[in-house]
Amino acid sequence: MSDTTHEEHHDGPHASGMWRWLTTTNHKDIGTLYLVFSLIMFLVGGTMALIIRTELFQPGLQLVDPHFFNQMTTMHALVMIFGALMPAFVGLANWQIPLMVGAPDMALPRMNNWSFWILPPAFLLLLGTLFMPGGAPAGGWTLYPPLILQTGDAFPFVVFSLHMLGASSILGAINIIVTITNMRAPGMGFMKMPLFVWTWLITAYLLIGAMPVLAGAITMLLTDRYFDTSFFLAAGGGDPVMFQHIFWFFGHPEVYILILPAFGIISQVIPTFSRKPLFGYVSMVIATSAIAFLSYVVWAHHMFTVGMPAAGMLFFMITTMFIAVPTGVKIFNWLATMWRGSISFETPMLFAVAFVILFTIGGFSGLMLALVPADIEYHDTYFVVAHFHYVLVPGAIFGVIAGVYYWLPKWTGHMYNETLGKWHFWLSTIFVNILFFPQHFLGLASMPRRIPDYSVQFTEFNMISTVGAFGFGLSQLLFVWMLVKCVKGGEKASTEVWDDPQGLEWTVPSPAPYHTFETAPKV
Amino acid sequence: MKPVRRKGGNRRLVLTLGGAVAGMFAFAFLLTPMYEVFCELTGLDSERLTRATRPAGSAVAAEIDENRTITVEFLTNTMNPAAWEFQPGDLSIEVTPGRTAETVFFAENLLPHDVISVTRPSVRPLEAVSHVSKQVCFCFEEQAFAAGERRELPMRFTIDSELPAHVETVTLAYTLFTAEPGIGGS
Repeated sequence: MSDTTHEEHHDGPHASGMWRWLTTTNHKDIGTLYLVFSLIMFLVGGTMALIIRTELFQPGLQLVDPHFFNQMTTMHALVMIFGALMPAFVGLANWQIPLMVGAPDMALPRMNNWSFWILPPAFLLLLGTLFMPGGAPAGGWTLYPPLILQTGDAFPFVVFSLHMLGASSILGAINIIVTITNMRAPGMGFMKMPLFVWTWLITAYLLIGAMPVLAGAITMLLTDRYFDTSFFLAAGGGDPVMFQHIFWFFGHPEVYILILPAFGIISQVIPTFSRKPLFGYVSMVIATSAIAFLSYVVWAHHMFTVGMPAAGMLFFMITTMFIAVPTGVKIFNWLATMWRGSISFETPMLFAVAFVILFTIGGFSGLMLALVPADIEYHDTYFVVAHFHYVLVPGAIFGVIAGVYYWLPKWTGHMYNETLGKWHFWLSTIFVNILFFPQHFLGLASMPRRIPDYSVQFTEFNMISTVGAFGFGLSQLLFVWMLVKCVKGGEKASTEVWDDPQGLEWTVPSPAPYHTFETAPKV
Repeated sequence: MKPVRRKGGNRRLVLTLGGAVAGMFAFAFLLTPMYEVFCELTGLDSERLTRATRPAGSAVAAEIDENRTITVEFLTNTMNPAAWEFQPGDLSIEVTPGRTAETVFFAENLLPHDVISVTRPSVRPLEAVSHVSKQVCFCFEEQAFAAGERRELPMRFTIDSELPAHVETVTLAYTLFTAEPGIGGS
């Protein structure tokens, strides 16, 4: 392996066409594959969301039948979580982590290729279930038994595709941990690593702790259905609530897997455009670790209404509210970084600032949901939908978009079209609020989630929300157009790209050569 | 300067992380017994106490509180309404704490072949759970039904006088499942 890379010194890819992408072990190629895959899945999952919102434009049943509606809500979640967000973060990690720690590539390049190429067949299985007798899974992405066990022929396909997606994430996580632990440039101690690298290191440990638990839970579902076990079947002495405990033991760390890398991106972007070093670096690292630790002891706050002793509710309510402390530390550190900075608002910075504000809204509604007496009222209403979409769309997705705009000139060697970027930002930000903000009111007025019909007093807010959905969805086509234009050409990007940014990735030429840091840089 | 590539370190770290993955996979399966142990040690999960309602003949607070009546409601559910008809004989009865009460349930096998049922009980509110004791209950064991058979299922229980004063209504719910033979009662 190391011999061939030496001979190919400064050369491009070893093969061309499709074969190059299938066999590549280059972290930049694999990063690109992940990012393109995630963009496609983002559009697929977005289309499903638009089907949902179209049906909800008016009360009554217009477009789809309720069973298909439920398939859409389930598949939208699975595609967005496992297809769009997680691969986007792994793609950014692949591109950026070796560049940011001064490593020539990921530590395990062949495993890296494998962890990407598990994804397309997994999604072929998952999306294929839409065409199977009985349709795609329709019991919600949380897969609660006994409902999910009533899925038609699609059931084992869903389970196997989730197994494959889990395997892909675990392989990716192992690779990232090994790269960060063993391949940092000399002089780069752990407390000198950029925050994106830190948050990914912690995320990778979360993945290793959480994904195998999901694999265990769905394996038990599989044996309950096909091999006469009764892990979750009450008739055989099992306990359906047990599934919820196991699922959320995975599920809560999972939501931090979806946000911590975004925290890292924002911590890179804000200092660059504030022209100040990040405020409170050490507290950022500690806060991220604290969030990761707490994420393992809060899971049952998803289950306040399924029945739990008061002591349990109190425990999970208090630990959940504790999370606001390290999260608040991060928010205030970002604000303090901007404080008296020489700020300029290029597109990545705009998305980062919007992230800080809108993610905080999602954080606050999360605090409201953490309160047991309030949660019993909000549970399974659109308030919950509004909450997690605020943290995942203008939260996690805006984080990814900020990162893409920030590093795109380094990847392609061209500046993106700033006007197009600004349009994309303003349209996305305005429409995402039109889309999700009214859902708070719908939820407070008790509109239940996952139901294709609603009573007429909810009509206006649903109409506004649907208009926002189409506006937001169509604005993303601007993003795709901007990406295509930037890959094809544009103003030549300098090595530094931005105004004196910090970090090793800004010391290699733009576009970053196929092989970088074959000689380790000195930090 | 040569890049630092700690080859041996990679192998060891990958094996450690792989071990952690395997460990967490096993942990998912261990969670079930761990919950049982945890709940038993802390006495937190009253739901589990429901299932293991005190066996017939065990001691109950013998004191009879004539000044109090408690409304006991009965609920029935079945996972497969096409296969079972399952109804309480009384929707609710008035019970004196400490005094044994009786009611019946009716179950009918709607299928043209023999089946076995198991029934899972549940008590609400949770604070009443440890104060309800059943002396006779069809939920203690599997019930065999011939094709089309309809049967009366008697139930005898006592609510002890230590039931917290503010609890005026207790709900006993039963969910009936078709069972594979040998799957066991609660």
